[in-house]
Amino acid sequence: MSGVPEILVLQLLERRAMYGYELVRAVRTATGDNISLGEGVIYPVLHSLERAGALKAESRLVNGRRRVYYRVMARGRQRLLGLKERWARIRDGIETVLENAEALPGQSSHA
Amino acid sequence: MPDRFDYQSLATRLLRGGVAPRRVRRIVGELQDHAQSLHADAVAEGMDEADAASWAFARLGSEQQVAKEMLARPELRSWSARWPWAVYALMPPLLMAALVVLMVLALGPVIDLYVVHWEWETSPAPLPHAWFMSAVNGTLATFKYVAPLLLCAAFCSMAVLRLSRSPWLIAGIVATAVLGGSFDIYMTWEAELWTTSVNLFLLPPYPDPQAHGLRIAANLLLTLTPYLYWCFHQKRGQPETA
Repeated sequence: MSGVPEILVLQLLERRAMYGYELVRAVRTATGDNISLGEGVIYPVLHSLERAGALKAESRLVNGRRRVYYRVMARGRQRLLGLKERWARIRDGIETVLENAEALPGQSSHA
Repeated sequence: MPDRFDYQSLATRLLRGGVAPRRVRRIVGELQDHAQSLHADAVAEGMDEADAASWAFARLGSEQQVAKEMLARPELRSWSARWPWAVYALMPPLLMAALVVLMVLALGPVIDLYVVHWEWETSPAPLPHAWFMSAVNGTLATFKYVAPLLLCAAFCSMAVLRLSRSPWLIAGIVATAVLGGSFDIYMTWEAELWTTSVNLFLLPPYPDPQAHGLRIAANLLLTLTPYLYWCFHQKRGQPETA
């Protein structure tokens, strides 16, 4: 679903800066293995958010390996708020449909 | 560790898709680091080297998949891919014109320094030193020959690094080569006045057709010809379904 990788990435990076591999593992752990982002396709999401000014990338040398760490910027926090509100509306809408399935048009009593 | 994720193929796809070379290098580096981390974790969990490598690359996905995700985001494409007409066709001649203006403006402080250093404010002012006039006019002449060449070469190199075969660039280089070969710039001292002359002859007849023609031809031969040669080879080497 559109926006899911962004909301997860922004939420997890809001706590602390992480690099791509660390972030993929964090998503798996935080979602109880229910959501697993494509390992290679996390990078387009990160680069896109960085380009939009939502994230800042910093290159660090860790154990002789150069790694790019990402952290959330003010614009990213704003974007996260917007995504959360949108997600809440979607969730409420779906719950309403599921809870009132009986009363929906076309679901009437001709069973 | 065997390398089964074709990083080179990914880089080529991204460059041809218009992603800037710096971003391509970074994403390739990140994916390599990611694959190494996956492999190291798999080995630490008891998998043998070969299986760990296969597993790591399977987790990473294919380069087609990564390239598709990357290119689906237009914001990750560079300016030259989004507005090639502006970057390749307009910018080189505009920069050429700007360089000429900057060169003329830079002469002001140089003359001021000369005047102050040689206490030259006396009236009537003596003739300027021959070495000074030679140095200034030598610099201007070098600029006249070298600046268009460097500018055209810089834009051609930029396109080659981006694997970009752009007709806009050809138009921009032709315009810059002609513009760069059509102007004349020099400084004179007459009737106690410094005069910087910039003459632009956009269309023939030129006052010195041979000199202008040679400069235009040199600009085109030394920059556009290698670029066209590279384009030809790229076209031949590129698979039909790329």
